[in-house]
Amino acid sequence: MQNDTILFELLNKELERQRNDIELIASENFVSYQVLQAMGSVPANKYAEGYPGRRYYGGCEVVDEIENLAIDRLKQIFNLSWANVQPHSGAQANAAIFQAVLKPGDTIMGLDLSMGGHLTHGSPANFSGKHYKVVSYGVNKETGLVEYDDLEQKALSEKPKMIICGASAYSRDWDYARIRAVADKIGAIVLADIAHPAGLIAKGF
Amino acid sequence: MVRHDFENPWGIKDPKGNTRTITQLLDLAVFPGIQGGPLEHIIAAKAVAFGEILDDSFTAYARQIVANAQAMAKAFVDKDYNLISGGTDNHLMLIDLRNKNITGKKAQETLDKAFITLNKNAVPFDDKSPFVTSGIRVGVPAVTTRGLKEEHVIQVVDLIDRVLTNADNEKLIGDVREEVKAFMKQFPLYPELG
Repeated sequence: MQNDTILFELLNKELERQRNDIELIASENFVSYQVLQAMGSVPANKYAEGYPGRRYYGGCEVVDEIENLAIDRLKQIFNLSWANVQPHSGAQANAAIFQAVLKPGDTIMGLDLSMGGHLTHGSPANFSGKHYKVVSYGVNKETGLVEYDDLEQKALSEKPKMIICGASAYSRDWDYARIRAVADKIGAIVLADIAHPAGLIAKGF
Repeated sequence: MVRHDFENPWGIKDPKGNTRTITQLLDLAVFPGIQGGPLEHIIAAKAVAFGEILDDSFTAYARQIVANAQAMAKAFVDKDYNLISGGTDNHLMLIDLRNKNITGKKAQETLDKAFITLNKNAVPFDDKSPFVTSGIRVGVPAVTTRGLKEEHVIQVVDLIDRVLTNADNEKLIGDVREEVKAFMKQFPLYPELG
């Protein structure tokens, strides 16, 4: 088969763009060359529904080792007892958590999208805002900091089943302990969406 | 990710009558709940990336990200840019451009022409639509990976400021673009790709 010159020219064009640009999108980064190599590698051919050791297809011995390696390393980074590395993206991971924890119509709390929150934290345009009752919290107009008092008040009166913290455009550390304490008062689950600062948290920054 | 597993508080049981733990519910929600087959090549890449995080060198990298964000935030504030919350603790900053008389949309589009890539972003209590916005979001992880240090990100703030304060000056924007290209040549990206 002939090489796909059209597509590979586009890939070269994109490489050139990335090399020339000053890249400041906060949700982007450059993976290492070995990560890039792994992304374009032969497990792309494998179908492996299920989890390591309990798959629905044969020939999964090696991808089991690969997936276990990813899980074990992630557990080591954050000192975890459990991790799932299968979600295709952060939105998928959040969708799975909603499905595991909530029933349609349940109440959730998240940082308002217009205040720096993420689409999947209760935006009306997203599944998280369509199928659940959303009570948003925000930031203070003067300080720009999360309004924890307001969050607590709303949580106590609306009794959400899950409180989401984490954001897309919030430049300050979170008071996770405060949110945990609020959730404990009402028996709510806390979802800490640390997609943005995970690398910093991993190293204690 | 879960550190301490626990029985689900809603009494959901498995077919044998045992109460499921929260991590069992989470696994079931990923597959077969919302996904079918996992992308094992992507999981392989995640394994590599996690290995990189476990390496000691990642500590210095994370420290540099914070240092670059701090240096950049200070440089913006020194040029009278209005940072939401006044600064940053992490890898990003959100800037309200209303005192600079340029919208987020126009800022993004103009900087794009100068090969400086970032995104428009609503600021808290924004009076403009999400398609226009009053702000921009600026993050340093990608440039830190390229090798930029504090002195370099301060130069980047200068370049951004020159563009935003001359947003209709095509000649100046073209000059900045050439400067950006030359500047980034110091920081090779994927030399393995030739």
